[in-house]
Amino acid sequence: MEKMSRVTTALGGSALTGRTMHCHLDAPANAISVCRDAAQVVVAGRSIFKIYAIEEEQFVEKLNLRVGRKPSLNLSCADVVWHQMDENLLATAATNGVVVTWNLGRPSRNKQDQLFTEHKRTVNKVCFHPTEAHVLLSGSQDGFMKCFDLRRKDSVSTFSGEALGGQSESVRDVQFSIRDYFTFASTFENGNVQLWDIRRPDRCERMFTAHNGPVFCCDWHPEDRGWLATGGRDKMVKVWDMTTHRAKEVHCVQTIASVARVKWRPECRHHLATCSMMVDHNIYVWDVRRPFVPAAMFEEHRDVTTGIAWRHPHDPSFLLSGSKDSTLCQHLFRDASQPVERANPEGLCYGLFGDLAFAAKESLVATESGRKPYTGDRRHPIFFKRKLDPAEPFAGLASSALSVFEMEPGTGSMSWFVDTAERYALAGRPLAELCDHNAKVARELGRNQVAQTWTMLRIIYCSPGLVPATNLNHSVGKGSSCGLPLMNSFNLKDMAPGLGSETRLDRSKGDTRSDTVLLDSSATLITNEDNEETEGSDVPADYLLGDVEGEEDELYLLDPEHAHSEEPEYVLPQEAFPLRHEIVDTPPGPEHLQDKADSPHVSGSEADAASLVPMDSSFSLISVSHALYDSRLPPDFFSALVCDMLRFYAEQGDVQMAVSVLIVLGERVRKDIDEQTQEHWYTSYIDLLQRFCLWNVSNQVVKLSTSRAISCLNQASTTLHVNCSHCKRPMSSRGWVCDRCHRCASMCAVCHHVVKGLFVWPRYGPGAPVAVAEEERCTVERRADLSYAEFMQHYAFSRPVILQGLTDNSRFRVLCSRERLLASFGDSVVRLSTANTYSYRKVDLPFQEYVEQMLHPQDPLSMGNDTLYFFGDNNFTEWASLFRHYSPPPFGLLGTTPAYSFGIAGAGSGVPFHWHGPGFSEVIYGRKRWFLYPPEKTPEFHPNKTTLAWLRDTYPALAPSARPLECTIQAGEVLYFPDRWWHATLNLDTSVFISTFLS
Amino acid sequence: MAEGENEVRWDGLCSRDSTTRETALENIRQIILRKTECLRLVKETPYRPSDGLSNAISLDVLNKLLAHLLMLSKRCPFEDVREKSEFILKSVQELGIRIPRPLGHGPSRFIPEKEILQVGSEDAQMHTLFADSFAALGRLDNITLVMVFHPQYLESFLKTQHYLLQMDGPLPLHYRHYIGIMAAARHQCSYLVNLHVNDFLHVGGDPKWLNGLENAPQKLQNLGELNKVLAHRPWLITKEHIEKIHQVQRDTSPQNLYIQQVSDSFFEVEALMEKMRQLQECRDEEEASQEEMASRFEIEKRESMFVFSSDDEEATPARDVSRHFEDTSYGYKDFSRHGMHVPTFRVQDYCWEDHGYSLVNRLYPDVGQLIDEKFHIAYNLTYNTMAMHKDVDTSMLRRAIWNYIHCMFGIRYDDYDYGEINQLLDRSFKVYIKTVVCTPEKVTKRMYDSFWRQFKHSEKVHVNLLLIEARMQAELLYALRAITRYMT
Repeated sequence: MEKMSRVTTALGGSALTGRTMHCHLDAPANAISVCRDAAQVVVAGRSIFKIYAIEEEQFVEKLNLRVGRKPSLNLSCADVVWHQMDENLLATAATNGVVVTWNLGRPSRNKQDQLFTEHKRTVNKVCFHPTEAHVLLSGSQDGFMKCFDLRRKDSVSTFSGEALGGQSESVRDVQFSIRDYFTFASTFENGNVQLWDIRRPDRCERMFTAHNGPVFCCDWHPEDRGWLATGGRDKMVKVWDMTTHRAKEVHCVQTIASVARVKWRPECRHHLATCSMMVDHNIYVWDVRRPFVPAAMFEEHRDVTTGIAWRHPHDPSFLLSGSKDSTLCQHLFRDASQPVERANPEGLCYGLFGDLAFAAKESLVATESGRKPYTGDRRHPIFFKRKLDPAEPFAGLASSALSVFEMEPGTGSMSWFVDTAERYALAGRPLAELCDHNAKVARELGRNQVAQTWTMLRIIYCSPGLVPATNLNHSVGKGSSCGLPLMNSFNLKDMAPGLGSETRLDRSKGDTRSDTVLLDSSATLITNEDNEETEGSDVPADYLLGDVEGEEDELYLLDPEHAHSEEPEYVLPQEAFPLRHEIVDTPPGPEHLQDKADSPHVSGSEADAASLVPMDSSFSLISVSHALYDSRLPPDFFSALVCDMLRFYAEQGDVQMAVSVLIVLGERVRKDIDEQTQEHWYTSYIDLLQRFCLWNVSNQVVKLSTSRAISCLNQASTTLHVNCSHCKRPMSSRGWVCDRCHRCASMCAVCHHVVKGLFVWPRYGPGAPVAVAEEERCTVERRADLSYAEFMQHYAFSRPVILQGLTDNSRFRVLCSRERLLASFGDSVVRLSTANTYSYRKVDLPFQEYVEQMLHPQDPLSMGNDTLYFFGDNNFTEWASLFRHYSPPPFGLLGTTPAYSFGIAGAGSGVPFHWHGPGFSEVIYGRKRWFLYPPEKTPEFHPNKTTLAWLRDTYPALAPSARPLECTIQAGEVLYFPDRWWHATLNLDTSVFISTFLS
Repeated sequence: MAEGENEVRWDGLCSRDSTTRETALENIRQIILRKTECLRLVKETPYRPSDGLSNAISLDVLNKLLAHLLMLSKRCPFEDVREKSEFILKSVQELGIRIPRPLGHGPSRFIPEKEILQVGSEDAQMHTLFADSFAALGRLDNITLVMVFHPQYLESFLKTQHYLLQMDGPLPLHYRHYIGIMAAARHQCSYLVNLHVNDFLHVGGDPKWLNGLENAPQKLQNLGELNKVLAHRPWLITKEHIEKIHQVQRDTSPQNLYIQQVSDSFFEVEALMEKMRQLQECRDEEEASQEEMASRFEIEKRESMFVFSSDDEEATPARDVSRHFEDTSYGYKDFSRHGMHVPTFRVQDYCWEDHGYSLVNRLYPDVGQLIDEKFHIAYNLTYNTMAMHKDVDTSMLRRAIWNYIHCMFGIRYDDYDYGEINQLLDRSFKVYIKTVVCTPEKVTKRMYDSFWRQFKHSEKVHVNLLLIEARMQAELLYALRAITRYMT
C-alpha cells in the first residue's frame, strides 16, 4: 500500500492513531464489532471468534474465544456485538439459533457466559441496549425478536414480526434507537420495517414497507434522532425520517449491489458506509445528498465484505471491516479512493428538436478566453453552491460547465418529419399507389425533391404508361434547388475547445443563444436547464425545415392550408400488431411485394446506369418523360442508382426517406444494400419515431422491416406493471392482490369488491373516476349445449340461465363494430329512453351523435331519469339489414313471438330494477352485469336511481340472503330471464347488446 | 402446389378474439378438405406409379394436421376451437379418411384421468391460465393440465417459463430450446424432449443439431458437461466448469450473461422435465415396459432403505433421446457415499435469498424475481389441509420435505434438527422423494400410489411441486456458488 498515511486524531484526551492496514484471519468473517475503548475489535464467523488489539502498525491477536475440543454450532456466529457500556460483555448470534453472551472478565479460558436457546431458526442479529447494561435484543429467521435480561435465564419478552394474519417473516436486523430509550427498529425479509416499544410486545408501534425484497440492515443516525437508514436487496439505501407521523423517505442512494450493512459515519451528518452481500467487494461511503457517486471507496477486500464498524463513535476517519476473504482491515478515510476523481464529467446530448447540450469540466471550459459563466437570470435557480464541509475535502472537484446550443428558431421544427411519418403509406397497396401517395404527401408538405424521388421510383419500378400525367408534371416539373433537410444547422461557435476543432456552421440569420452554465456538482440541474432550452425552441415554424423557401415555389402553387386538409388515405391497422402472435424469427416480407419479388437479383455491375440520372442539384434540369425510359429496360437496371440515392438521403440525415423507400421497394433493392447499413437506418429511424412518440408508425416500421435484428424488436410482449396502492410495491404475481401487504390493491368504488380487470374509466363528468367490478360469485348457472327439452324442463319457467355456444353470431358481431355501425347507421335517428324504472322520457338523436357524445361512462352521481340510453325502440325497417344477420337463441316459448331490442350503452350505464315478460339478452361487445330477483321478491330500490347508484348505496348493505342472483355475461353469452323476474342491468364496458323478448 | 397457400397457420387459434379464431379455423378447414380431396382423387384414379411417394408424403402431412386437430379438440381452452376441430375431424372422416384417435391416457400416468380437471370445466382463474398458456405456446401440455391443481403456482411457473424461453434474452430462441432438449434428455424424458424439439424447429433451429450434440455449435457442446453434472451431481460443480465455458465464449461477447442464461434456462427446464416425469410419465408404450422393469428392480432394492445406486441400473435410455447427451452412464450418486470428499454446503453461508437471488438478477434481469416468487409460492403453498383433516399447519412437514431434498444434495441448514425428518417422512415417502428428485425417469405408478395413501391427488401434486422446486434450488445454489467463485 503506497499511499498509507498515519493519522492521529485527538478525541477528548485519548488519541487515535493508526494507518491503513490489514491482517489475515484463519477463516472468513461474518461480523465484527468494536470495543468502546476503540482499541479492540472482535471478529466472528463460522469458524472464527477472536479478539484483536488495534495497534498503531498492526492488528495483534489478543484472545481466541473458540475454546473446547469439538467445535459446536453454538460457536458458528452469524453476528457479534460488543457492549458499548461494558468492555467485558459480548454477545453472539449462532447460525443454529442460539444466542450466547460472553464475559471477558471470567477467569477461566472459556468465557462463555449464558446460552439462550429460544429461537428455532438462525439468529441473524443481536443488539445491546445502548445505555442499559443488561438488555439484549435478538432477531431471528423464525420471525421473532426476543428481549433478554442478562440477569435472567429466559427472555423477558418476545415480539412477533408476523404480518396481519400472514406467516411470520424472517427478521434480518434489530437496532435499538440511540435516543429513544424504549424504541427499537426491526427489518424483515418481506421488505417491511417495524418500530417497537420494548414495553409493548403485543404489537408494533409502526410498520412500513421500506424496500422491495428483504431489508438486510438498518442503522439509527447517531445525532439526528429521527433518522433511520435501511439497506435492502433491491440495492438501495434509504434514509427515513421517523419523527413524522408516517415514515418519510428523505434520501435514497442507489448502489450497484444488494446492501448488507449500513453504518452512519461519526461526525458527518450525511455520510454513511455500506457494503454489499454479493458481487461487489468494496466498501462505500456515501453522502446521502449525493446519491449517485460514492464519496469514498475502499477497495482492499478480495471477497465480499461482511462486517463494517467505525472505530470510534466520534472519529470519522477510521473504518474497520471484516470480509469473506479472511482479512480484517483498518481503512483510513484519507487513503480512500474517490470515484469522483475518476468520474468523467463530460456529457453530450441532443434534444429532440436539434438542440445540443454539452457539459464539460469547468476547468476545461474556463480556459477559453472571453467567456463568462452563465450567471443566471432564469426562473429556476441554476446555481447552488454547497458550502464546503471540512469532512468533504473533495467537494467541488466534479463541478462542470454546461453549454446549451439551441437551434435557430424555425429550423428546429420537425413537424414535417412527424407529418411525413404519419401519412406515408408503406405497405398494403400496389407499389405504384404507394409511390403516388407518398409523393403526394411529400409534395403537400413542400418537400419537392422527396416528392420527385417518389415519382421517379414509381416510373422506374412500375410498368410505364400508368403514371397520371398531372402527377408526373407536378412532381417532375418542379425544379428545385431545394435542399435536403439539414438537421445540423445550429451554431456551434461556443463549443468548448476540448471537444475538438472549433466548428462553425453559421448559416443562420437569427441569433444563436449559447449559454454556459456553471454548475455545481449537482447533476440534477442540468436536466432542468435542458428542458427549458428545449421549450424555448418549440415554436411552430411557418416553413418547414430544410426546404428553402424559394421563388420557385411559386411555380408550383401550394396552398399550405389545403395541404393538410386531405385526410390520409391509408388506415393503420387497429392494433399495431396482433394481440399475441406466434414468435417467428424470420417474418415474411411485406405481402404486397411477393408478386414482384421474383424479379432477378440485381448486381452492382450495372452501376454505370448511374449516369442516366445524376443525383445532384442539377436534378431539376432533367425533364423526365416516358421517352427517356425505355420500357424494355428492366427495373433492376436502376437498382444501383436507387441504392446510391438511398445512401445519399441517409447521409443527408433524412433517414426517414431511406427507410421508407427501403420498405416500399422491398426485395427490389434490399439485396444491394448491406444488412448492417439497413439495420443502422432502421434503428435510427425507429429511434427518431419513438422520440416523437410515433409509436404506431415505429411499430409498423418494425413489423415491415426484414432485418432480423429489427423485427425482433417487437417480439417482446407488452408488459403492464401494476403497483400496489398501499405499499407501492410492484405486484408481480397477480394483478390484484399485493404479495407484501396481503391486501387487495384496488377495490371497486361501488360494490367494494376487488377489481380484477382493468376497467378504469377516464374522467368525464364531475364524478371521480370509478371502476366497476364483476360480481364476486356468479350465481346464475352457465350451460353449454343445453337441449331444448332441458331448457323447458329446468329453466323456462323457473330460473334464469346463461346459455353458451347455442348460436354463433360472430358475423353479426363484425357488423356491430363501431366503424361498421357508424358507416351504416350514422345518420339514422335513434330514440333514446331514460334509464329509470317507470316513466320513460324519449329523446330522438342521430345515431352518430349518440355514439360520439353520449357513450361516455356513467357519472355515478347523476340520476337514472337524466341518463339517456339507447335500447329498444328500434326502427326495424331501417335496421333490418343488420338484424337479419342476428341468429336468436333457438328456444321459443309456446304462444310467444320474438321481438328484438338492440342497444348500445356506455360503461356504468344500465336499467334499474324492472320486470316484463321472458326473454333472452345477448352481449355482442363488452360485458353486462345482471342482478335478478324472482317475481315474489321485490327488491329495494329507488326507481329513479341508476343501477350504478344502487350498486354503490344499497347493494353492499344487503344481507347475504337478500342478495340477488347475479352474473356478468360476456360477449357471445346469452342470458335467459323468465317471465316477471325483477332485473337490473349494468354495462361494465361500453357494450353492444341485443335482447329477444318473448311476448 | 403452391406451398404458401396450403401452409396451415395455427397461430390464429391462439388469439383471444373469437372472430380471429374462427377465421383461422375456417382457413384450416378449407386446407384440410382440399388436401383430403386431393388424396381421394389420387386414390380413385388408376394406379400411377410415380405418384406413390408423393402420395405417401401428403398422407403423412395430412395425418400430422389431423393429429394436431385432435389435440385441439381435446386440449384447447377455447370452446369454439374444440368444437370446430372436432367437426372438421368428423367431416374428414365422412370423406373416408381414417382419423387419428387419442391414445387413451390422460395427461398423467399416475393420476386417473377422471381425477384431473377436464378442459372446459375450469373456473375463471384456471381458464385465464389456460388461455395464457395456449396463447404463448399454442398448446396445453400435460404439465399445465396437471399443475392446474395449484393455479397460483401454475401462474408463476408459466410466467417464468415464458420469460425464459420466449422473451428477450441473451440467447437466441433456438439455443434455449436446444438447452431444454439437452436437459430433458438427461433424464430421458421423451415427452419433454419432443416438446422442445418441436419448439426448436418452430423457431428456426437447424434440424441437423438434433442428430446429436456433436452437430451443435461448440458453445452448446461445452455445456454438455455442465449439464451432466448439474443434472445428477450438482455438488461437483466447480468454478473450473464455469471457467471452461466462459473461455470458449470469451470471444462471443457479454459472456456472463450467457453462462447465466444457459445455466438458468436449463435448470428451469430441468425442473419442468421432472414435473413431467413424475406427473405424467411418457405416453409411449414401449418405454413403459422398460421403466416397469427398472421399477421392479427398484422395489426389490428398497430393502436396503432408500439407498439405491444408479450404478446397478442396466436400462440404457432409448436411443432417440440419448443422442442429445453424452456419457449415458452418468447418473445420480448418493452425496454421502461417493468417494471423494465434498464439503457440506451450508445454507447459512450461501443461500438463495441473500446471495443467489442477487447474482441471478444481476446476470439476467428479472429472472431472479421470477424464480424467487416461484420458490416462495411452492414453499408457502398450503391449504391448511391434510388428507381429510382441515386447519392443519403444514409448515413443519413442508420444511421437512424441503430440507430432506437439500440434504440429499449435501446442503445443510445449521438451524434444522434433521431428526424431524425421520419422524415426519415414512420410508415409502422417502423412497418416492428420492426417486423423483434423483432419478425421475424411474418413478413408477406403484411408488406414486404407495406413499400417503389417504391423500388426495392434488396434495400429491403439491408435494411434487415442492420436490422439484427444492431440487431446482439446490442445483441453482451449487451452480451460482460456482459462478460466484469464478467471478471473485
